Amino acid sequence: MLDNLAILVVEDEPVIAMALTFAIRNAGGTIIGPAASVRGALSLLETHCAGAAILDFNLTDGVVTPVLERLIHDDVPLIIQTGVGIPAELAARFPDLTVRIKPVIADDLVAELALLVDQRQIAVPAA
Amino acid sequence: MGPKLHNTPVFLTVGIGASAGGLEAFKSFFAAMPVDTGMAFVLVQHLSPDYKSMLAELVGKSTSMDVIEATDGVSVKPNCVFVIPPDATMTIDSGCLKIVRPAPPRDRRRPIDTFFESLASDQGENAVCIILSGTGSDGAIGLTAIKEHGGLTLAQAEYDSHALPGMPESAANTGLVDDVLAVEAMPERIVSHQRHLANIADGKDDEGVHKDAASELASILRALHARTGHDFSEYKEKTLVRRLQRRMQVLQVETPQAYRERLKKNPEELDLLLRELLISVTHFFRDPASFEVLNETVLKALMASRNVNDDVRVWVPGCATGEEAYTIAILLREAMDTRRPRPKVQIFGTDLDERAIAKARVGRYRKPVAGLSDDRLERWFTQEGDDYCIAPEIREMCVFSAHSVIKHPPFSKVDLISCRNLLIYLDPPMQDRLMHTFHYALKPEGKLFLGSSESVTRSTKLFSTRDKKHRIFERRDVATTSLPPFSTGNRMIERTAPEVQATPNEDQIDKYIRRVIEKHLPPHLLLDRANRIVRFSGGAVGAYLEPSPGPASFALFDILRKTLRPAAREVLQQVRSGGEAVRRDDVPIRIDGKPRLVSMIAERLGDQGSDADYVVLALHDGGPALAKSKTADIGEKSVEALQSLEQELRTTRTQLQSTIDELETANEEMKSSNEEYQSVNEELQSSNEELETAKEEMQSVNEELQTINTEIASKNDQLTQLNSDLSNLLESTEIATLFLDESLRVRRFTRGVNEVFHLRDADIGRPITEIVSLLDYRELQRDVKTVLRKLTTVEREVILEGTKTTFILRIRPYRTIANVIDGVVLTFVDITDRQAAAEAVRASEAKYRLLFDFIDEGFCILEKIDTRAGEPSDYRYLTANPGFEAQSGIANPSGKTMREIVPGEWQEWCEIYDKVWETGEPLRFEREFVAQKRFLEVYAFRFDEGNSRRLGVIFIDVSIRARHEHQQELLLQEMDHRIKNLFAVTGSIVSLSVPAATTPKAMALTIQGRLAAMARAHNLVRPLRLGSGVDTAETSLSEIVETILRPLAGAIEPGQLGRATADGPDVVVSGDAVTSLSMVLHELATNAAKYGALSKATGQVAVTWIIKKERLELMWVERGGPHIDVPPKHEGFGSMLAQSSIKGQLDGQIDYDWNPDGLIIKLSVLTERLALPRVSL
Repeated sequence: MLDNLAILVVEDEPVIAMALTFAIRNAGGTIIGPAASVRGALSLLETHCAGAAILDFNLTDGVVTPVLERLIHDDVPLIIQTGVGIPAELAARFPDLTVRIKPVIADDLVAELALLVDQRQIAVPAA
Repeated sequence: MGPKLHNTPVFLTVGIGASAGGLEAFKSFFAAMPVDTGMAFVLVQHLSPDYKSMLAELVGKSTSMDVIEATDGVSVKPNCVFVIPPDATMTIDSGCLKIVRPAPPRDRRRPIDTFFESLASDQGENAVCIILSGTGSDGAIGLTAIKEHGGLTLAQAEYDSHALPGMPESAANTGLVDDVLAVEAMPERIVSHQRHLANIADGKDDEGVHKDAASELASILRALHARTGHDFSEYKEKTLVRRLQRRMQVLQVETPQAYRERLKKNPEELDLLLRELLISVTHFFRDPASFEVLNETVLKALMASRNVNDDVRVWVPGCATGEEAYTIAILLREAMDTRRPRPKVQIFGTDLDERAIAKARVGRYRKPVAGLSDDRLERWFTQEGDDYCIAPEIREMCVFSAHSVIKHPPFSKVDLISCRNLLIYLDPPMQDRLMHTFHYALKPEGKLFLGSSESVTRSTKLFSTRDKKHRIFERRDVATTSLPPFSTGNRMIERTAPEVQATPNEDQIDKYIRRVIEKHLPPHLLLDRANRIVRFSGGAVGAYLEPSPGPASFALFDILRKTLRPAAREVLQQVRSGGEAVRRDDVPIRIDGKPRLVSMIAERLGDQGSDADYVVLALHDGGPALAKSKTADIGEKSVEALQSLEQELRTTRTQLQSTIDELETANEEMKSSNEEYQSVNEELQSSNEELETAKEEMQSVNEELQTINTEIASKNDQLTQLNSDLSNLLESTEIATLFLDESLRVRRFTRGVNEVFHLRDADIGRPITEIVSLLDYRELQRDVKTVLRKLTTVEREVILEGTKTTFILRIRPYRTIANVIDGVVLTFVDITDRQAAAEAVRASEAKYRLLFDFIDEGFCILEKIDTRAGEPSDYRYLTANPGFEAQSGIANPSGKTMREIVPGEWQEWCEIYDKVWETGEPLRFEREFVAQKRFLEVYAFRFDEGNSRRLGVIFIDVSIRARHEHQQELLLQEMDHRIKNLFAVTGSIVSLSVPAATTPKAMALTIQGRLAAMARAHNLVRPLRLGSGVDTAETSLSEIVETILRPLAGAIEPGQLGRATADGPDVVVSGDAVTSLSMVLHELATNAAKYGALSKATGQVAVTWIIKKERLELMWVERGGPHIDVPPKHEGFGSMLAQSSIKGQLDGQIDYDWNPDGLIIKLSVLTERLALPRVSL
């Protein structure tokens, strides 16, 4: 389904990160990460090219926004999962952002990400 | 003589005198008095000197005339009423009132007399005087003066209801009151008198002398001459007419004719007229030169010759008002200045005129007093108002009595007679008679002092001239045959011939004189008591001597002729038995054979003393005895018979003569005694006069006392009222007050003092120290002394013994109204209740202070500061509690202002407080306190008690609460997040557990174990407190290891780990690291229990860790488990989780060493990362 698409996972909760890892593998994707911190995520992006991303919003060293901005800048499809939602200010900046409130079943999340990637590919045939 | 139209009313000055009861009389008088009479009225009322008189106002209500209180120099105007001011003597002079202050002492105060006398002399017949109600006799003398000057005199009738009878009665008793009337009738009488004067004014010439008086004068003088023997025809006519007219005015007789008629009807008036004519002018030291000579030649010698025991007696007949007598008294007194003790001087002043004598007795002389030098005035007089009063010292030397030189027996044994200007009024026979009287009265060598125009020319036998120019004469010591007859009867006096006594110190001239005189003196002998001859007069005496044979003897009866001896014996005997001088005439004697008659005179040498024993026997040749010679032829027998008869006759005659002499002597002595008694009587009368005067003075004093008494009674009422007020005040204050004098004696106390001292009224005057005191206070005496010394107040708190009753004792000096310290005042104020109240207040305050100090809330009191208009208002902190600092963060605001304390935002705060202060409505509000970054909830209110400028502010810092609320919200969010996270993790655990599970039951057990581990890890780090975004919950590594391993390692007891061991230093673990480490350890332990060391009963797990280079190096070593041949091929859940957690989450390293003896795991993580707190949203 994901066709070996490299998926960046940023999640500071190891168990959830593990569940996501399994779900992505089951869906045919590969894992970048998982990263538990903003710093870790950004350093991963220096060396990897992410085809899509699943981001936790609150991380051990702060909110995920810098990573988010980088990915949006690179036009990487992504889903944010969070316990409490994102700040209104951020939602205003990025109205098209897909945000899911925990708990979310990892397989569903991966399926939704795959759908998101497909839509992007249709929308951009040149890619 | 009827009223004529052109007559202008005569200006009368009406003097009205009154004492007690006068006011009513004044009112009645003026009510009836027309107001346009052209008269002036002067009221003289007895007034107390220190009493403010309302008389003028009161009288003013009764008349529309001006009523004026007299002032000095005010001229008396018609139709006005003048009132005497208090404490003054008022007189009138040239129509002007003279006021002299103060009034004389009460005993000599006779204001009415004084005024009337001046009124009489000033206004003469235009004066009217009225005596109204009053006690005493003031006014009587003045009334007499008015009458004598022709004025009208009225007195209030005693039946008049207004009158107190004393003064009117005295006035009436003078007999000189024209009319005694009721007050209401007086005005009419005065008005008619005024008309009468206007009418008769026409009958006088320019000098006021009746034109037809001269024609009547001659006949009146004749009548006077006929009655009194005084011929005044040689007097000046004008003088006589004036005096005559005065009598007419006194009698209200209008014409001389009428007066002559009156004289016929009433001959006694002639005597009064005589007295009027006799009024003589006299003053002190009249003819000063004469008095000077008298003083030098007579008075000084007189005083010098006197012993203390000798009296000096002076007689001043015709002394009139006493000036002459006082003049001599003054001179004698001055001569005595150097004498001590002084001889007693008696000066008898006598005059016919009793009124003159009365004046002399008073010894008051109106200014100016002529003839006296200032020195003498100063020394011998005291000045009283317009008068000089003779000093008592001089007055006592003089005795005045009414006495007629002509009619009454004279004084005797007088040293000096001063009779000046009396003889000139007398005819020569009367003068002679008076000379005899004076001769009798004077002592031997006594002096007679006559007036300058008088002489003794007719009586040179009696008096020799000592100083012709100044009329000083000396009594000649000659026998006078008779004293003139007096009313007491005739008497004879016989004087012996003068004795010539040789004195050792006689001068040469006297010797010659004596020698000459001796030639003419009869021969005489001086005999001593034993009749021995002491002296012979000379050879002439030899004719009468006939020495007896035998031894020589001076005994008289041895050498006197025998024929003289019987007669001599007789006369000597008589003279020694008391006779002064005994004479025996016609003693027959034969000298040289010729019969002669001899007069034999015996006289004692002195009156008394040793000289009295000497007797002079004088023998005076009476010439030849003719009769004897005629009878010489008669027979010897008949001659002898005749001689015997003669002898018998002579003896009888002698005896008779002796008896007569004795009788006369006795008579004379009695007369002298009589004179003495009369003098004494005079003095007694004089004393009586003085007593009378004193009595009147007393009455006058009484009068004033009554007035004063009324005043005092009224003042007393006031004082009583005041006293009562003060007593009530003292009682009502309920302050125990005690008045002590300087020696601590009780003077006065209020009832309240009984609580402190057992005082009763009888204790007043006792020293307070003797009174039982209930006080525990021994310093009283010392304190009182301190107060008296320093004049300050001493205050003490004293307690009643055995009680709690407490007093404040104040000791103050007692100041009299005159500001004199006179003792102390003690006040005791009971402060027991006050103290209890104060105690209660203190307790209450302490309670509130406690509250104030310990409440958490900040509390402060602000006071609004006065600021200038336009300036923002400001407040000052008065006080603040400890809570203030805690709540506001500002320490010690007291005394500072808002502006100082909160510089940035004081105006906003002040605006809020202003609103509270202005409205009085309390305000509750929340406001940020920017300076301290706090949020305060404030309650501000105004203090309405006392000072409304004060605000109370209670506040609490609510920023903590707000933070808590915020934290709570965060917590809720966190909880929500975690729960969701937990569900997510749980979901993940479930889904992750599925692939490895062989059976559903095994899957359930796996999931339960993993969830339980999570739960235990959660327990370790369950957040106790959440806030400020930092999860500060932390635990240690050993705790985590023990908690996770204990259920799997078979541990039974808490604190043990069964087959597992844990050892390592303290390592802080917090945040997500706790959960991660717990989960990793759980998986390791679960694997060990399933497959590793713990799956065998002998297997053991040792967990050890160290800190190395800031990293935790942990070793998990399994031993005693199943032998490991090959490491497992696929990664299990546990190792995946471990990789994910340690590597992914904690940036650490985990390595597996599949040692055949047992698994060894090395774990390395930065300690910093382990302790990293969880960062919330």
